[in-house]
Amino acid sequence: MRRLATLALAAIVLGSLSVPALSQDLTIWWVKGTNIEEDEALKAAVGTWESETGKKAEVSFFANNDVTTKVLASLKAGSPPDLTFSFDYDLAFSPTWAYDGDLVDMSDVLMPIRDEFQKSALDSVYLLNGTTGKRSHYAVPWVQMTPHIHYWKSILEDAGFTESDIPDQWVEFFHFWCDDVQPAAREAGHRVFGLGQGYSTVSNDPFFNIHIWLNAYGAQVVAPDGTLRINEPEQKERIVRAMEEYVRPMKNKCVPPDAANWTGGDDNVSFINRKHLVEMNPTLSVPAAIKKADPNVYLNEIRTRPWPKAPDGSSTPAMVSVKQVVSFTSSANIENAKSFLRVLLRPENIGPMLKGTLGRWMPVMPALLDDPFYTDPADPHIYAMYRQFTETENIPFPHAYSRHYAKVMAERIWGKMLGRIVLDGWTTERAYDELAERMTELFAE
Amino acid sequence: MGHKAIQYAQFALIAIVVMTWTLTPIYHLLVVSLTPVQDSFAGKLWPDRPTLDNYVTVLTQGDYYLTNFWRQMANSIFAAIMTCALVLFIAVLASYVIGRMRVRFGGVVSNLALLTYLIPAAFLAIPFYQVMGVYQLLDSIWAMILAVTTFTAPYAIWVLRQYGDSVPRELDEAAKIDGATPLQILYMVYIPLITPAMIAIGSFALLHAWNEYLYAFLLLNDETRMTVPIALGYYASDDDSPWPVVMAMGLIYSLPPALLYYSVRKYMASGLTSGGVKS
Repeated sequence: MRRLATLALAAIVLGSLSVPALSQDLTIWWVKGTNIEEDEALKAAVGTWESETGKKAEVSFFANNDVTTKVLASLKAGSPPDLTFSFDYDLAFSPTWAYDGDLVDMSDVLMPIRDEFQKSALDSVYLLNGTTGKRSHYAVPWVQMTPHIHYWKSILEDAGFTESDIPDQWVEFFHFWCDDVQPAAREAGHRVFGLGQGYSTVSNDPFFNIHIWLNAYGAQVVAPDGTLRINEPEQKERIVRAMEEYVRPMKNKCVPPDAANWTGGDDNVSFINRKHLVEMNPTLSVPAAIKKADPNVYLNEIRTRPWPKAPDGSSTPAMVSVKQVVSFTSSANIENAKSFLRVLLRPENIGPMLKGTLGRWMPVMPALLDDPFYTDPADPHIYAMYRQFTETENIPFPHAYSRHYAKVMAERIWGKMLGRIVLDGWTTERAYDELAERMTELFAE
Repeated sequence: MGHKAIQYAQFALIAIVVMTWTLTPIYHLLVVSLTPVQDSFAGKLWPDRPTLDNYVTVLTQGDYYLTNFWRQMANSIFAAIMTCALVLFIAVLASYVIGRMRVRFGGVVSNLALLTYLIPAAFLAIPFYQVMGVYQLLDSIWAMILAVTTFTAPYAIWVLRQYGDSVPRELDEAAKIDGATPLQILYMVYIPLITPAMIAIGSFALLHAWNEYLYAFLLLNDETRMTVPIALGYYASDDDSPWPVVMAMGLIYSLPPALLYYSVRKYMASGLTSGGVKS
C-alpha cells in the first residue's frame, strides 16, 4: 500500500510538469530544424514580434511528416494553427487547400514587399481559389530547393579517376559511375555502389529524381496550361523510356539494394557512410551534415554539381520547388499570423535563419544572395548550388501547372510505380499503365 | 526413448526458430547502438570498434533532438502510470458490475465496447482531436492518456470479465451472509482474486501508453510535454539521422517496460483461486 502511495505521489509530481499551455495570440507549427540555430532564429523572430506587439505566441516544432498529419487533423477538426510550415505543403497540399478556400490570402503581406522576392517564387504561390474562381497569393514563399548531385571525389580518385574524367552527357555520366568507377572503387577496397537513387514511397526523393529523368528525356506529364498529357502516345513513349532508364541502375546492381525502402534520410546516411558514390538530393542536407561532422571532408572529399546535359545534348534545367508558409481561413488569429510574417520576412530575421540551415536551402529573396555565404567560390557546395540556381533555367514541378498534381504527390503514385518495377517485377509498360490510369482518375476528380 | 528424442528435437527446433525470430531485431538494435555513427550502415555482425558513445549521447542529452529527453521520459512514465491506473479503475468496476451484479444488458454492453476495435485508431484521430479541443485538453498529457485509455479499456473490461467469471460466486454469497456490502465484496473478495489478471491488463495498458505515437504527436505540441516516441520521430524524418544514437535511445526506452514485465511475471500465472472454495 505504501508503495502504491509513493507511486501515486510520484505520478502527481511528474504530472505537474505537464501543465497545458494557456491560450495564445499566435500558434505556430513549424518543421523542426536539423540545427539548433534554425529553431533559435525562428524563436528570436517570435521574440521580436512579441516585444513589438505585446502579444504572446507559442511555437511548436515537429518532424516533417508529423506536422503535415497534425495540420490535416486540426484542419478537419476546425482548429488549425495560425501559421505553419512543412516541406510538403507546396508539393502535395497547398494547391488543393487554396482551391477549397482553406488558405488565407497573403497578398496584403506580400504585395508591399513583392520587389524583394524572385518572380518565380511569387508565381509559385499564386494559386487558384475554386470558390472565388480567382487566383491570389495563398501562401508565403519561404525557401526553394532543386535536386543536386553530390559525389565522393576522394573515392573517385582512389579508383584511379579524376574529376575531369566525369562525362557531362546524361547516358555517359551514369554509365561512368556504374560501369567504370564502381568496379574500380571496389578493387581499391571500397564496399561501394555507384548511384544512390531511391525507389520507395516513403521518401520524397524518388519523386524529385524521376521528374529530373522525365525532363531529361523530354517527357511532359502536365502541360503548362494544366492539361494532363500522360496518355498521349508520344509522351507515353518518353515516359516509359525515362522510367526504364531510372530503374536500370537498380536492375544492374549499381544501387544499394535497400534503396527500395529508403526513407528521406536513408540515402543521405548511406552516402555519408560511403556506401554509394553519387547522391541525388533536393537540398544541401548531405554536405551540411558532413560539414558538422568534419569540415575537412566537406571541403576536400565531396563535391556538388548540377545535372549532366540531357540525352539530346540540351542543358538540364533546375527543377525548383518553393517551400511555403501558410495560414488557414479557419485559424483563430489570422491578423496576428500576418503581423508575425511581416516581422519574419525582414532580411535581418530570415537571413540568419537560412544560414542556420548551413545552406541547405536557397533563399527566394535575391537580396539575401548578396552575401559571401552563398557566393564564395571556395565553398564547393553552397557556391555550386548558387550557380545551379542562377546559371541554369529554373522550371517548376508539375504541381505548379495543375492543382491536381498535388494529389499525385500526396498519393505518391510515382514511388508506387517504381516499387512495382523494382520490387514486384512488373514491366515498365505495365507500371506505366497503372500510373496513367490513376493519374487520369485524379485529374478527373 | 526414440519417440521422446524426436519430440524433444521438434521442440528444440521450434524454440530455435522462435528465439531467432524474436531476438534478431533486438540483436540488430544492440549492434547498431554500439556502432560508431560514421559506420551506421557498415552491415557488420559485430562492430569493428564497439562504442558506448551513443548511450552517453542519449543519457547526457547530447544531441539537439534529445534536448528534452529526460523530461520526455518523465512524461512517458506519467502517461503510462496514469493510463494503467485509469484503465484498471474502469475495467475492474465495469467487469464487477457486469459480471457479478448481473445488471441488465451487461453482456451486451461488454461486447459493444469491443466494437471500438472494428474502427482503426487512425480513423478516430480527427474526432479525438476535435473532442480534446472542445474540452481544452489539447497540448495536455491528459489528452493522450484519455485517448489511450479509450482504446485500451474495452479489451481490459472483456478480459477481466472473463477472468472474473472463473471466480466462484459462492465466495460473494459467503461474504454477503457475513454482511458485506457490494463495495466490500469488490475490495475484499473480487479484487484480490482477479489480481493476476489485473497485473496482466495493467501491463498491457501501460505498454500501450508507453509506445503510443499517433495520439501523442497529434494531441501534444510543446516539446516539454511530449513523450519519448515523438522525439524518436524527429529522427525518423531527419535528413541525416544518427541511427546508432536512435537505436541506443530505443534500447534505453525499452528497458523500463522490459524490467516491469520481468518483475511482475510471476503474478501473470493464474490459478491463485484454487483452493479458495471447498468443493
